[in-house]
Amino acid sequence: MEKESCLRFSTVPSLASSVHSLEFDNVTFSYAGSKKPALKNVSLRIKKGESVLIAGPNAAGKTTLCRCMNGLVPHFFLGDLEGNVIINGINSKSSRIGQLSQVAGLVFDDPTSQLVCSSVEDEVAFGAENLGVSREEIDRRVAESLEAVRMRGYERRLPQTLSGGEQQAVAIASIMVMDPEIFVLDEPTSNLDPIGSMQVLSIIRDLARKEEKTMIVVSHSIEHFVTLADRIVVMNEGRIILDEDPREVLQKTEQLLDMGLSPPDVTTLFSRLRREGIGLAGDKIPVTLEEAYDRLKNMSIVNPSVSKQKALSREKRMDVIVRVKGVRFKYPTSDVFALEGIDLEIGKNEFVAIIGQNGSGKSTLVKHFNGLLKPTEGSLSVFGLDTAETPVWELSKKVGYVFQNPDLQLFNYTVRNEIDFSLKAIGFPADKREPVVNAVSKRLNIDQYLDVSPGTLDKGGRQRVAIASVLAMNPDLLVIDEPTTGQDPANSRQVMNIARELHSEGKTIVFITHNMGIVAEYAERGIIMLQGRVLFDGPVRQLFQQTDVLKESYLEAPQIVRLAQMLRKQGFPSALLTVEEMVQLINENRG
Amino acid sequence: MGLRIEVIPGESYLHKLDARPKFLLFLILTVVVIFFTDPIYVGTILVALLLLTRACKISVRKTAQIVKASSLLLVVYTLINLVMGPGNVEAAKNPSNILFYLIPTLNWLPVTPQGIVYSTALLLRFVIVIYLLQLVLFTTPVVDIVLALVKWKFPPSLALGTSIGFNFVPVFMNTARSIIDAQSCRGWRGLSSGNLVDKLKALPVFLVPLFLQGIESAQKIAVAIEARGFGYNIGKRTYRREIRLNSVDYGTLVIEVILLAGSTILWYAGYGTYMFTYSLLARMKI
Repeated sequence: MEKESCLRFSTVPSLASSVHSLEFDNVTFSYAGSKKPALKNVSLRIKKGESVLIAGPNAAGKTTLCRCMNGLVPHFFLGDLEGNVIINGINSKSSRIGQLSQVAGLVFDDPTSQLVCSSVEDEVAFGAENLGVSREEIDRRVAESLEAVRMRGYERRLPQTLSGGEQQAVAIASIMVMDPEIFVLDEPTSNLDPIGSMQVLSIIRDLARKEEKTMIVVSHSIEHFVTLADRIVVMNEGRIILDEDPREVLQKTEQLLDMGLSPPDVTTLFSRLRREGIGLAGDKIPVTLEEAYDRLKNMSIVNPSVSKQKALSREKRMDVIVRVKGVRFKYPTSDVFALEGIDLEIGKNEFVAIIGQNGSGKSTLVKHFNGLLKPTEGSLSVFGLDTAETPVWELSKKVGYVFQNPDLQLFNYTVRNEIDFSLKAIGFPADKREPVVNAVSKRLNIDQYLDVSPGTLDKGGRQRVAIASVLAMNPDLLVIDEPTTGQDPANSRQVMNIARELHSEGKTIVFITHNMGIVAEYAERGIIMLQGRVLFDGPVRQLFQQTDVLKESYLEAPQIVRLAQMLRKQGFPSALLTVEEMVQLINENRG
Repeated sequence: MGLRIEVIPGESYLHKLDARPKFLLFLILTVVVIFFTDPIYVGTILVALLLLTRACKISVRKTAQIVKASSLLLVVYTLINLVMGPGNVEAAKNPSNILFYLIPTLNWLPVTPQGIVYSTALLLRFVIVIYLLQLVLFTTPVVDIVLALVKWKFPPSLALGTSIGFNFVPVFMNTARSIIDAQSCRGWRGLSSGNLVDKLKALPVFLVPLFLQGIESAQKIAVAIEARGFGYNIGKRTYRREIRLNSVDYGTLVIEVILLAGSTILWYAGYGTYMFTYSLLARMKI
């Protein structure tokens, strides 16, 4: 795509002389109707050909920053823009989105809502058509872009039927076709399963290698970008906090953790060791797995006691509350079985993670637990009730189900009514409802918002309201569907911490996730699903040692587990799960 | 789900036919069936359509799903025509024509053979129109519809907006289904239980989140297409696909004209009314 000069359009001034692709000059921006600025005094210069990772917690201003890069701010999202944004020599204030979109291409986090055509080739062609490119040139560019994202052969497919990773690849191709200088990818992998993330990451890697293209990626998975990015820019509350070489940024791992970010496990480990004053930490924190291994390879562990903690809790077999027997399930619109014969039991007070790629049957399985889906074959009983014969509202008293997106549920004027709704729905006595609402809202730290509209809360707040409305019914089994997908790490943790607290009070927790770090940290039992079957079911400590099973299902153990496995010869237990355990182990074995 | 917006892939005559003659075929057949009120005339057209479907290797059953989905409407429509149809009203004046009453105990709503013949024709007519619409949608990609609209001088932004809307329908259906699931998990009993008042009360539980999600999606789509240069210079926009009429399309146009002209003449000459089948039946003494 780089060879032809005919890709330039007369409206775009050629500014090959400019060194900077992007310049933010003391930019402050407030969305119309909002008093609080989304960006505060942001100054940023990005050189041509640079690859930059932008990290930061929710509401840090990352997305607003991206929107400035092609003129969406201030031309689509209106508001008060102070300072100047210069994109390849063009001031965004005096240009239009249509013109700027040829210079900076944006890819968004949600693949489904950026694909608008009825075939992949039409989708990719859309941008070039809008720019008035000739028919032959469009065909050439479409073929080239699909080649670049390795999606040749998908031309006639309906975009909505592709997997998340494939959709995102098409979304990137449909930006490539406009041949922008700058690629801006706003959380391109946050809604994807592990396979999809891998697919998109490898496309990003290819893009970053092209020297003449500038790439800006917003992402929470710092681990994947450490070696890819030339710089990491950390934002918080509308400001740029750090803007340095990735290695330098990661020396400040504690600061990142305080902001609720997820630095790589190895940097968290060494920053903890440094704080504990353990000598082997050296002066610089290693940032990759290999570097960490080099640092620790001369150590030997004589007392690998850690793995005995968090014991194999399944051995204390308890009352079975969910019993799945030979369940097969087929969606009415499909010819294939989404579940291909599932047999499993879940006992009281277990903490179970269900993992696997999208389409492996995870959600289909848990939707059977409260009767949202009824088995096509086989049987399922929950708390002794046959789910095929019990209505969902009846089961919802026993089984709470927390959805990934709280906005599917919130509709009331106040948080109080929202929580009260489910109590009313299940026929809870009127005089006893208020104390329950008060108690639940207090527990989830939303009691100060009881009389405000849920719509005014941020995503984390809305999620707490949705959870509160489920917890109000006091279910014994809580199913949490993807608390980590599309969320920032702080929000996922918030949900998981509530789950852990409930678990300690005797509740049973089943959750679905793509985040292996969360599995290692919270779950006791792990179930790996693949193509409608259970591939592995056992304690999490054993799960991450099943390298063959993980490989077969394209899953990767958390970085800290992989580090421990590399250090097996040095006596590190391969069943180790968390940074915390590794710190403790090294602490006990030093000297 | 009733009407599914999807294209069944294929290489048949109907698939290859340009969207413009295909639309014309739809319009002309709709006009032609309005000319006729006789079940044999209308039935012949339906049989021809079914044969065409088979010849194009499209599942008749799948296409007919829309007819099944509209069955309630069809029954009501037929009952109304059965009783209120001009033939029936006229014939019922003569008591010897009356076969039976729809409400026998009160001798209300008499039914005559003329009424049955007439309403059968109208039922078939209705079936043809919706069946044909589904057949066109099954064989015409939305892009082709857009191109046809643009060629017919519709504003491109309107045509493209329509196509994006079409493509978004399945996504929106998914959202609707997720909302129903999510609210059921809070003890909501859905729209199917209770009396009318309960149902009305239950509506916001579903509609408010759907509305808000709809707005959010609309904004996301707007942002995504802006970022791909949608508003850049829509008058100068190019189209990857070229639609050009070929000999088959022209041939089809000729047939369409003959069909329209022939039917008009028949209609003008008074052929094709329900009396044709009725007199056949009468002659056979049924």
